[in-house]
Amino acid sequence: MGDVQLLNESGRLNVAVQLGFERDFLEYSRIVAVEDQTAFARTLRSGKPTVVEDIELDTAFAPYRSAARGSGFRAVVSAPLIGRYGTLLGIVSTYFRSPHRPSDTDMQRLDLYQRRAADFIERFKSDEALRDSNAKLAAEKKATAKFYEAGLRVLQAQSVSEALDIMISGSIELLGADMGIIQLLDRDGKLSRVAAQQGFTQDILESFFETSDADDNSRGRALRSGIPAVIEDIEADEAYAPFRATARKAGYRAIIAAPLVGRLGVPQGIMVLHYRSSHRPSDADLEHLELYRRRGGDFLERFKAEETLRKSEERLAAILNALPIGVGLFDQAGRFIFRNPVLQQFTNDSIPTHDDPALWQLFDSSGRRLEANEHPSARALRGEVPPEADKLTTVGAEERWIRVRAIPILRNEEALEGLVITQDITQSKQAEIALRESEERSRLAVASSRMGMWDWDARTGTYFWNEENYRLLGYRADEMKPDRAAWAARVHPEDLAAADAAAASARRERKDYSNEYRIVRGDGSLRWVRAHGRFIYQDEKPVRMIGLLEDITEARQQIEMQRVLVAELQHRTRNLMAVVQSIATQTLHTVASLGEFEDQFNSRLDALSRVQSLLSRADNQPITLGAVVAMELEALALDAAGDRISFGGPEAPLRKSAVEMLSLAIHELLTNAIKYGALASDIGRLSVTWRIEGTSIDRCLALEWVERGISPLPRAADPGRSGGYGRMLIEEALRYSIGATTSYELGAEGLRCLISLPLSMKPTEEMVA
Amino acid sequence: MTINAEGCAGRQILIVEDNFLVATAIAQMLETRGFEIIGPVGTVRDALALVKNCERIDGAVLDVNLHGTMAYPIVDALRSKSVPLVFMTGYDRRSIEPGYADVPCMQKPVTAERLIGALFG
Repeated sequence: MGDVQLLNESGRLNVAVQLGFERDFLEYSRIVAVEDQTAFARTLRSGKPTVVEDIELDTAFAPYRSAARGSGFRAVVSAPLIGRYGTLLGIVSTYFRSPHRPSDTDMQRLDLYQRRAADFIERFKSDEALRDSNAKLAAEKKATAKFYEAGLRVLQAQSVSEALDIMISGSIELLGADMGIIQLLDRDGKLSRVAAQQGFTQDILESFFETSDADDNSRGRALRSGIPAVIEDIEADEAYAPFRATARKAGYRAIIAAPLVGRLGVPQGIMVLHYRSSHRPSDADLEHLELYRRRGGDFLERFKAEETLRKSEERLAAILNALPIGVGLFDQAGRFIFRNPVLQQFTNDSIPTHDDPALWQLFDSSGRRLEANEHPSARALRGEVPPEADKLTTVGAEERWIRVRAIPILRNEEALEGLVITQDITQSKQAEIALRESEERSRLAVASSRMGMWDWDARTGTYFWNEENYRLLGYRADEMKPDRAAWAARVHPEDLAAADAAAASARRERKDYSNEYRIVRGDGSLRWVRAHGRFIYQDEKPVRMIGLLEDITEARQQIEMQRVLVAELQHRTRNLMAVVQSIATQTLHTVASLGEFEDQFNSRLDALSRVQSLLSRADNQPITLGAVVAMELEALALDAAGDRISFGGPEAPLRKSAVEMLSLAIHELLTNAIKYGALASDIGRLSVTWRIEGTSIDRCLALEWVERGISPLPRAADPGRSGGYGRMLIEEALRYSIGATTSYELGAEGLRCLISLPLSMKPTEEMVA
Repeated sequence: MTINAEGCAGRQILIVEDNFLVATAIAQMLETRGFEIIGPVGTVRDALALVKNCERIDGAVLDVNLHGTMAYPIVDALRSKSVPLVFMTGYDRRSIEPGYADVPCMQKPVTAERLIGALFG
């Protein structure tokens, strides 16, 4: 029989190969120790072949005799297997059933064999070591590749659950586990539900929900310590006793729980691997695990951060999309990085100044059109914080007003990006425009009407007066602030109470206020004004009164003048009637027949009519004596005897009251001249001249009526008739009516009549009136 | 009431009228009815002189406006002598001052009957 025993790394002998032995001996040889007295031990100690010729005789072998007998050998020859460099590799032994003494040749052969075998074993062992090392390297390489592949797949995962699935399956594979889970820690540090798993049923998973890190299970230990916890055998681990039932039910015997810790050292979750059999992970396993769990922690940490960012961006995007205002972000080149849907309505790909300045016609708050480089966005890119501007645009067929603001986003004082915000202000703009137009209209209307406007705010007690209102009341606009006292100071004292009463009544009865009163200005000038006003009520209370003040002085003067004129006309007409009546009566007394009456009456009415027409045409212009004389001459004599009439004198205005009587007197003189005097024959001559005589106090207008070449007889023959009426007019009526002194001389050679009118009797007054 | 010529005989009427033709026409109308005429005069000054100097005035006809001067002082003088008087005007009667509103007022042209009626009716 024989065997070869090799030394293992711990210095024990293991039977590598045997021939001819029953099992019992192998049991024996396995327990052989170096210090024992077996052949092997002796060989090992001495490094030389040992021979036990008869076990029954060898005393040192006595303790092992029974085992040797059981194996059926009586003698042993053991030789050490010594390698090329003297390393003891093992023992080769041959056994004999009978006592045996090997020959020297045998011993030499044994030595040779042992050396050959040792060489072989040594070479073989080194080959095996190399093979082992290669396999380890390959495994490591494979693990690393798997690790990186898994890492890549995790990064490419579409969702966190997919990533976690990859992570758990990869870990199970790499660490040779049977099952596994990943649980995440929530914000409060509590373990949430199982995020990824492999190999468990749902009801088993649910038992994990109830388990917190406070418990002394594997996850609790790992999370508390921050490093992986290994339970090689749950049946052997006393602390795990409370959880054995779950573990048995789930079918695992060993656990590795690894906290997933990110770069910042904050635990993000835990990965637990389970083994059906008891299991002790190798150092390499644990090293790999360390890498996995840190990579997983990193991933979860980043994922959480990304998730937070993504959610926040989603919220922001949702807000921006839902906002009724336009929001956009543009880069240094003016290109939009972001535009919300509202802004997309108005913009192309770039801000207008970089896109098409004509697209946006912007106006500043005063309505001035902005140049392209003044656009808010253009200014924001230069780092300025520009004022807002308004843009008129058309959306569809509708005209819209957009208010544009832009803000630079600065870094190190340099504008990197710009934020533009637009707001549709069409409604308020339209209202503003309408209001402005309406105000402009009102202002223009008020201004063009030259009406004063006042506006009283009852709540603040403040007044507004337009410029005209100041002017009407005799103030300068820059002189003072309007108030009631300033107004009252200008109202005629007799009219103030009535004005207040009218306003109070309008307020009480909720009617428009309307009143006319006098204004006495600072310079004492008096004006009539008409006020129209209206109270404005809020919550049944008058809060404001607004109204207009109109200067009606001229209108009132016009009315007054018209009244006077109408009265004057009436007066004149009635007086005229009385005069006609009188002429008729007087004429009636001096005529002999109705035919003569008709003749004379009509002639006098004609004269009266002419002078009335002269008076009415004259307006306010004074009528001159020359006009009166010329009028009568033209009417009666110039055509027939113009060459025999001469007349003239200075411009001599007459009082109105004198005009009528004087023209009637001249009419009588001329009628007589035509009938009986100078113009009754072909040779007579008439001369009418006048001049102004006297000093300023007793100035008078002297008219001289001279007829030459008349036959005095006919007149002398009938002095009492029309001549009588004429003389009465001249001698009495002129004196009576206008204070004239007259003389009437009818001689043989002709007629000489002098009429002297005083000019000093209130001439101006009457001439104007 | 109709007053005949006899009833009026000897009554002295003051006529104040600045228009000579009108004044003489009224004077003539009244003379033909038997009245005696004081005046006519055409100014306030002349009228006041007559009122002052005449012992007896039975009635007066006054033009309100005498060359632009109102005849009120004459009214005052006549009232102090309780002389009945009547205004004669071409203007509206509203133009007469309130203090003289009770004086009968006749619109020109006047007729003798209305004038006498107003004075002595």
